[in-house]
Order: sequence, then C-alpha cells, then structure tokens
Amino acid sequence: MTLNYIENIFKEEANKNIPLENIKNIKQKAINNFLDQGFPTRKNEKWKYTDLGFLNNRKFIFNPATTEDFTRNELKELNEKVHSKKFGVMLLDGKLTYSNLPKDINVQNISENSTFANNLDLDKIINKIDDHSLTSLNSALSPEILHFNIPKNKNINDPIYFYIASSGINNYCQQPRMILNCEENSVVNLIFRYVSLKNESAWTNSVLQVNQRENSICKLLRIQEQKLNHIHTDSINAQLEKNTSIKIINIDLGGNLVRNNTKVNLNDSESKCNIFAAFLSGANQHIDYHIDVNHNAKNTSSSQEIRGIANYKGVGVIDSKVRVDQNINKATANQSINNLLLSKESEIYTKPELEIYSDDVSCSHGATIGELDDDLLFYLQSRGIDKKQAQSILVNAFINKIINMIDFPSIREYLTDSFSTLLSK
Amino acid sequence: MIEIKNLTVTVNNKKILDKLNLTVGNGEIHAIMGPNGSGKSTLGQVIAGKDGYEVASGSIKLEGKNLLSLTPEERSLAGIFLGFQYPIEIPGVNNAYLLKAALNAQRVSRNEKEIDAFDFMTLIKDKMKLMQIPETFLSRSVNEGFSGGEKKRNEILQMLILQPKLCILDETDSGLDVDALKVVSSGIKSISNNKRSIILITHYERLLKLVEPDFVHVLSDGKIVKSGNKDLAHELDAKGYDWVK
Amino acid sequence: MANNKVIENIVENKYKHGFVTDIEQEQFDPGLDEDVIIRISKRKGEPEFLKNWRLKAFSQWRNMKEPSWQHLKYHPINYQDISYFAAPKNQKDAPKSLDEVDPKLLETYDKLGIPLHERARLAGVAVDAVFDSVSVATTFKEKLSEAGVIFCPFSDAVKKYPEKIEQYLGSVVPQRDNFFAALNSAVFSDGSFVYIPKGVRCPMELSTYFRINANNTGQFERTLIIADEDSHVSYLEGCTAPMRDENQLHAAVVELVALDNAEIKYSTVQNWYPGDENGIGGIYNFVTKRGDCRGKNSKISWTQVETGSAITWKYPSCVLRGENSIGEFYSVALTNNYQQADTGTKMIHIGKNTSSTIISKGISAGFGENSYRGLVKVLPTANNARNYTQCDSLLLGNKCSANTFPYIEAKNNSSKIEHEASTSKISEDQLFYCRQRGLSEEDSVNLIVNGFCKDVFKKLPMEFAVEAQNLLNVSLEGAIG
Repeated sequence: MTLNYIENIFKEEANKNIPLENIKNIKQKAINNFLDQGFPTRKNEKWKYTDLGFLNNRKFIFNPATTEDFTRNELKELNEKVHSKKFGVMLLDGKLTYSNLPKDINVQNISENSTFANNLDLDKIINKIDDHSLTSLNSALSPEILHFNIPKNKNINDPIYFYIASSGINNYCQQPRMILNCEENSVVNLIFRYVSLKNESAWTNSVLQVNQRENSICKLLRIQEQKLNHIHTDSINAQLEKNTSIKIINIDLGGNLVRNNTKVNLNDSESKCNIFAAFLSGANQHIDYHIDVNHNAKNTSSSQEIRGIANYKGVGVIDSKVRVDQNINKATANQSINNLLLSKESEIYTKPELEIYSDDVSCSHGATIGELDDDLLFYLQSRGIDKKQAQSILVNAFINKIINMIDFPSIREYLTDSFSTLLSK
Repeated sequence: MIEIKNLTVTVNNKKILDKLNLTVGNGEIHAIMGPNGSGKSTLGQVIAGKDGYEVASGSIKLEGKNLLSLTPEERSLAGIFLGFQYPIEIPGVNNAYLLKAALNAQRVSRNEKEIDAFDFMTLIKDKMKLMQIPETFLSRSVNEGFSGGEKKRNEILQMLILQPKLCILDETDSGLDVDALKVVSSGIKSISNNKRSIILITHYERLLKLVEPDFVHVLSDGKIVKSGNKDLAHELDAKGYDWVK
Repeated sequence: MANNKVIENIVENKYKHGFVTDIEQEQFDPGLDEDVIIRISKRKGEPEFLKNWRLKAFSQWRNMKEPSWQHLKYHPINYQDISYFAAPKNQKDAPKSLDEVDPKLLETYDKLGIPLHERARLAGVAVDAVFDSVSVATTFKEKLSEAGVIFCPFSDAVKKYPEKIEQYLGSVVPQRDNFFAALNSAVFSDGSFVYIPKGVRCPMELSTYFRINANNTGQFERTLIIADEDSHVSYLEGCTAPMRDENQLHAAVVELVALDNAEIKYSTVQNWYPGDENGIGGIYNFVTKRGDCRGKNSKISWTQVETGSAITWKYPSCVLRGENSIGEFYSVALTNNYQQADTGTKMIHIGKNTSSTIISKGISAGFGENSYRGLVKVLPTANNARNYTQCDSLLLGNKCSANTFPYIEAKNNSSKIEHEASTSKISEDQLFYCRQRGLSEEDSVNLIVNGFCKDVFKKLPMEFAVEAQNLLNVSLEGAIG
C-alpha cells in the first residue's frame, strides 16, 4: 500500500462522496498530513515497539463496492444484541446503521450536514487532534464523522452501548469516527464494543474524541474483542474543561496487532482523569497501549492503573507518559503499571514516563514485570487446588483490579469469564 | 513570656482563629483543650511561623518582642519550640545530625562555640536514657519508620536538648500507650522550671494528670470560650465539650 | 513561596575550579581528518594496529549521525573547530617521577585539592592525573606494582602491554557503538589503564583526575579497567575545567571488564565547568561508560555524582553476561541555572540469575533540565533475572524540569522487574520542621537535599562522599525557588 495508492483513493473518494466544500478542505489537510508522515515506524519514539511499516507492503480497500449482506447470521445476532439494549448505537464498517439514543441526544454526520458543520470549528475539532498519522488517515478517509451531543444538565444513568463492527471483509479497512460533545453539567456513561463479523485479515482504524465542557462527567468503557486476524488501531482523545472528570477503562482481548492511543488533556483546573486498562496478549498477538496525560492547568489530577498479561508468543507494550506543563501548581499524577509474563516466549515492554516542568507537583509511578508468585501458587496448591486452576485464580485476582472498576456486574462477569477462557486455551 | 492579643487567622479566607487572647507567664503551664477543628493546632503553628496562614489582625509577642515578622528559624532561636502533632519523616537525614545541627544553630545565635562530637554525645546520652530511646536511633533517619510513640518521644528529646523558653506541645500525648505517656510526661516535667513556660495542646485529661497545668483553656471556633484551673480539664473529660459551648 | 529567595541564593554558585593554568602547551590546529589521526598516533608512538584501529573508527564515525533522541538542546558542535590534541610542552621527555613534573602542574592539582604527594599518600589513594589529554603523573607506582597491579597512563600501556590493549580495547564499547564513542575511538589521546591480576585485591583506591585546561580543545580520554578472576578494585574519577565562555567538548569512553568473581567499583564525581548563570560556556559532556560482567559472579558498580557540565549525556551501563553477575548504578545528578542532563543507565541481563539495582536521584533548580533515561533489558537466556529501580526527582523552582524515561523490556518470564519513581518539590513540611528547630532555610534545604541523596552518597568511598556532599551544597547555592 504505497502512499501514492492512498493518495489516489483519497482523490477518488473526495470527488465522489464528499459533498461539502469545507469538509473537503479539512480532509485535504488531513491527507496531506498523513502523506507527510506515512505509516508510523519504530523510528518514531512513540512507535518504538510497534512498527507499522509493514502496511506499506499490504493493500487495503477503504470503501468496498458492496455493503455486506445483512442477512448473515453474525450480523443478525449482533443486530439483535444492539436492539435489546435500552440505548444502543451500531456502526458497521464506519457507518451508522442503527441508533436508539436517549431523548435530546442527537447524532449528526458532520460530513453531510452543512448547516451543522458550518457552526463548528472543523479545523480545531478534526485536525488539531491529529497527533499521529493514523488519526490523520482516519480524518481523511472515514466515511462518516459522527457527532454526538449530550446537552446541558443531561444526566443519563443508563449506559449507551456502541457496537463498532467490522464486517471483516478481506483486506478491508474500516475507519469509524466519533465525536462526543458533553455539554455543561452533563453525565454520560458509554460502552464501546469493538467486534468483527468475519475472521479475514481486516483493519480497524478508529478515532473517538471526547470534548467535555464545565462540570461534565464522562465514563467510558472500551472493550475490544475483534477477531484474531485483525489489525486494530484506535485513538481516544479527550479534552477536559473546568471541573470535569473522565474515567476510561480499556480492555483488549482480541486483535492480532493492536495499538490503542489514549490521550487526555486536562485543560482547566479541577479536571481529573482516571484511566484503567487491562489486556491479554496471547499467541502471536501484539497489544500496545500508548497513553498520554497532559496536565495543562493547575489543580488537576490523574491516575492510571494498567495491567498487562502476555501469554504464549504474545507481546505486550505499555508506554505511558504524564506531562505537567510549566507553571502548573498542585498537579498530582499516579501511574501504576503491572505486567505478567505467563510463558517463556512472551514479551513485555513497558515505559512509564514522567515529564515535569513545574515544581508544585506530586507525581509517582511504579511498574513491575514478573510471573505469578510461586509462594501464592504453592499456597493454593497446598490447599488442594490443582496448578492450572491456581494459576487461573491468581490471574483473575490480577486482572480483577481493573475489571472491578466497571460499574456493571454483568459485564464484569462476562469479562472475567472471557479472560479465564482465553487463558485456559 | 508570651502575649497573644486579638489574634485572627484565616486560611483561604476561612477564619480559623477569631480575636484570640492568651497570656502565658514565666514558668506557667497552660493546657489548651477543645474539640477537633477548634483551631488548637493552628495556634501552635502560627506561633511557630508556618507558611499558609494569613494573620488578619492581632499580635504575638515573646518577652515583648514581636514574633509575627520573624521567620520560623528566628522564632526558634528566640526560644520557641513546637512539638509536632505529626512529626514529619526526613529520609536520609540522621537524627544525630539534625539534633546537632539544631543545637549548633542555637549556640551560634548566642555567640557560643559549636559543640564538638564528644560533648554532644555526653549531653544527649542522659536525655536519651530519660526518654528511653536506644542509641541505635541516632543513626536512623529522622522519624523514618518510627512508631507513633517513638516520634513523640523524639520530639521531647529534641526539646530537652534545645532547652527552649516556650514549649508548645501539640497533642504530644495522642497515640501513646500508658507507659509511653509516663515517659513523655517525665520528660516534660524534667524541663519544667519557674522560668520556662509550657503550652500543652491536648484532647484528654490523662496527660494533665501527670503534668499538672496552672491554667486550662477551652478553645472553640477559634476563641477561648472558657478558662479555669486543672479542675476544668476534669470537668471537660466528664461532660464533653458541648457543655462549654 | 517564602523559600524562593533562598533557593536562588543557593543556586548562584561560584565555580571554584575555574582557573586556567599558564603552562606551555603543544596543541594541534583545529580540524579533523585522517591526517590528524595519523599525527596523533605517531605523536604517541603507537603500534600499527592501534593506528589502523583509529582510522577504522574514523571512517565509521564519518558515516554516523549525532544522536538526537536525548532530551537536550545545545548549539551544534562544529567538529572541525576543535583541536584534537593538546599537551603540556615538555611531555616529550615525560616525567619519570613526581619530582620531574612541572611545578605549575602540581600547583594546579593542589588548587584542585589533589595534592599528588602528601594527601594522596595519606589517603592511600593512587592518582593518575590527566591534564587536557595527557596523563602527567601516576603516584604509588611501586606499591601497586608489588601487588602486581598495573595502573598507568593509557599511552604507556599501549607501549608496555600492547597485547592486553589489543585484546580488550573496544571489546566492551565497540568503535561504532555510538557517534561520540566512534569519535573518541578515532582521536583519544590518553587516559588510564588498570589491570588487576587474578586473586588480587587492589591495596588502595585508584583515582584519576581529569582536567581540561587548553582553549578550543576537546578532551577524549579512554579508560580501560580489567579485573581478572577473583580480583577487586575501587576506582575514583574526578573532573574539573576552567571557566570559559565557549563550550568545550568532552567525549570519553570507559570500558570495564570483570572476569569470574571479580568486582569493579567505579565512582565519579563530575564537576566540569557548568557554564555561568546565563548558560554561557560550560563543558559538553558526552560520555560512554560500560562495564562487561563477563565472568560468573562478577560485579560492576557505578556510582556517579554529576554536578558539573553544561550538557551531560552519559549512561554508565552493565552487560550482565556471567551467571549470577551483579550490576549496580547509583546516581545523583544536579542541574542548576541552564544545565541539562540526560543520564541514566542500561542493565542488559544475559546470564542466568543476574541482578541489577538502579538508584537515581535527580535534582533540578533554576532553569535546569534533568532527565533520567534508563533501560532494563532481560533477554530470553536470563532466567531468574532481577532488577530493582528507583528514581526520584526533586524540583527546586518552577522554571526547571524533571523527566523520567525508563525503558523496561522483558523477554523471560522468570524475571522480576520492579520500577518506582517519584517527582515532587521539596516538602514544605520538612522545611518547616527543620526551621522550627532553628536551622536557616538554606541549611534546611541542604540538609533535606543531602538526605534525599543519601542512598547514593553512602555508596561512595568515604573521602569522596564528603566531597560530593560539599559539592552538592555549593552547586545548590541560590537554588531555592
């Protein structure tokens, strides 16, 4: 997939499918940005452990000629699932196919709604977040830019489920793009589930943006369980205003090559973020978490609790950076990263970084890599539990620290089972 | 010894001490009691000069000398000692070093020669025995890994060595078992004389049974709402603070 | 903040080693090409293999790029503006004993606080002093040679023990290891060579003082220490330079080899001229230091106190090849004014049951930038490898920065790696506590900062520990902010 190839695709798409001139301009900027940088390689420090240079030698389709056959069983099942939720949204191959949202919450496709688009600072909303070339690629080629607005004072307790599905057509790259705007005093609870319908070799390149206005609260749970032949790259980008909080939980079980970028900017005082994440990287999987938390205002706080497991020939990467800008008083940040290596061939790379330019801070991080505690294993075995089960108990205990942060018992249970099943394979 | 007049102190615009008046004469022992949040600890820290408190009005004078314009170390050298409620840990700095540095700072300010290592050891040995502090403690870091009781005994040891004019002991009795309380109180009694003044900030009567105060004050909402003799402490213990409000 | 002023006062440190010694120098014209390298080699009467080794390094260096990944900003270095050789003039008939050493030089060392005869003798420290790029005197030769220890200028070793040089030179830090190591391999002029024979415990601490004196010169010393089986050595290194407005380059290479059951303890107090309070001048210190724990049960321990230099770029590392070998890194790095430091270590675990410990204390003041960069790498062969890392940063003032960039790579599931780090300003409560006991704010800060560094200082040999503590206090002058 040469850059030329992508440029040509863009030209075709832009002429055919983008009706709005200002969107066209934004997308042009984005594609230029992508073409300047190309696919990220290990020469870029942020991609040191995940080199996407191989994409140059692969060919992906960005807009398949035919839509998927909706009668397919997998899809039917998925549709039923989404419909059964009180609030649910479904995206298939980056396009909105279903939405049942709480009252007053509306969704707009910026690419098609000119009056709506004209009221937005598109350059800022879309292009300013392009911190690596894959978000630019998404900006340029995503078929729909979906803008969800949570209005002022709206407090939604029931979770909204987003099913982001890849049809899994061979060599197809889907690029979902969602922007979430949380207005003043709103409270929202979102669950994103990334799935794929077929196990062909496909690529999901997703971008989710969260803009939080004053006093808003956002809880975001992302569960990625795509098929094992899939490449999954996604970016969560959150911008927080005064007195806001965001809680992000990332769970990654699927995918062949997975890269999650989570970036939170604490842009005003009293904003805080809590990030939790857990992955299990099994045979031949490669899962990479890249987290950036930027303290850009005083009295901001952040915490991170991340747990990675690598099994068989799995590779796990956690690269997390906290940055405190100059003249930021009273910033507190904690990072805790723990990794388990379960087999001889598994590998873990971790890099907890602090970049501090203010003195009135309290920042700390801790990172560990190890195997299961022999003493604990022995203890359990001495109580008559066989080794395999003892291991599973300990791994569960390890992962529960993250799973217990999820508000919904049924999901907790589901994930605990999923981890166990994958581990017993 | 110390004269506090109309002292009003705020933190973030919140009033903690409200036109407080207190006079402690030479050789007197005063107890300041009061419920949590009444401003007891603030009073001790403001006298010692901690940052972060806004003195809105009033004055504090030690032997006629205005304290408010002085830095914490100048107040210390003028004779004020604060026994901290929560003595802080200072990793990597050993106890002997801090004690000696503090003692020498006092001596230098009095134009005396710095004490040599031998004299210093002789000086502190007896006092350590009195406070039941083992010698190994000297090479440990300040307060690091100390139990609550050890920290408090260490505070008293520092006081015994620095021989201040005015001792303010902020809840030095809290978190001590009966034996440790006895050790601490004997330390306090050993330093008490007709010149040195002591302010005991406490919740409970039990310390005051061992170190008898001349006066007892009740602090509530930043004011002294009642003063009396040691019987007041007894009454408070029996009836609680609501009784004086 | 009440303590701003005091920290400022503490930071305004006067560099006390900033004098220039006026002695006749022989100095090459600035510039670097093959001819210069051949001249250096010839000037030093080197054997053919070494000349070729240098030339090979030079051709590699020419194809390499200056690294840019580090968290440092500095003016580009023009490698053609540097003189690659400077030596006191009468070097040709090199001093055979201390009495023959130029008295002015001896005076310099006195000023530096390294009296070559008396104090060294009293302290039982053998000193090799490298002035600009040339080793001028090594004390205690006799006593050392009784024990079979070789401790001599590198250029002497080239003549006397060429087989050892050929065997070990570049075996830990290959010529093309990195840009600065390649440059050093091409142009190094002198340094120290140490060989501790089998079963020998070196009877005294060995010590080298490095001094840059001449103008426009780069200093490129090369140190090679080999501890043969069951031997033990403790080596100290100190450095100073005159105050000059222009930046001077220092690009040294240190190679350590520890064979079975051998132990090398390498301590550095680096106090190169840091530049003035506006960031003018100062040494660019780009140094490659690496130890190879080649033998089983071997141990290499690096302790460094880095208070000088405008730019510090160094990562003393351990390659833990031998089974049960141990690597240690203890570091205090202080940046004040406009100093920048990007320093840390690499621990490469290859052998079984290898273990490493990293303790790093960074202190930033003024506009200083201080980065810890470390790599802990456990290869698949390193069963039961252990690492413990702790890096703490202290910020004094709100114009400075402290960064932590640890890379942790584990490819063996029986390894255990723990990493802890913290960044904070000096605690107000600790300051108040000390001041309540009558200590001045400045003394309180010094006390607390020294306490912060205690875990590292206690690893230094006694004499150095006191020096390091004083150095820290001087370097901190004016630093509270």
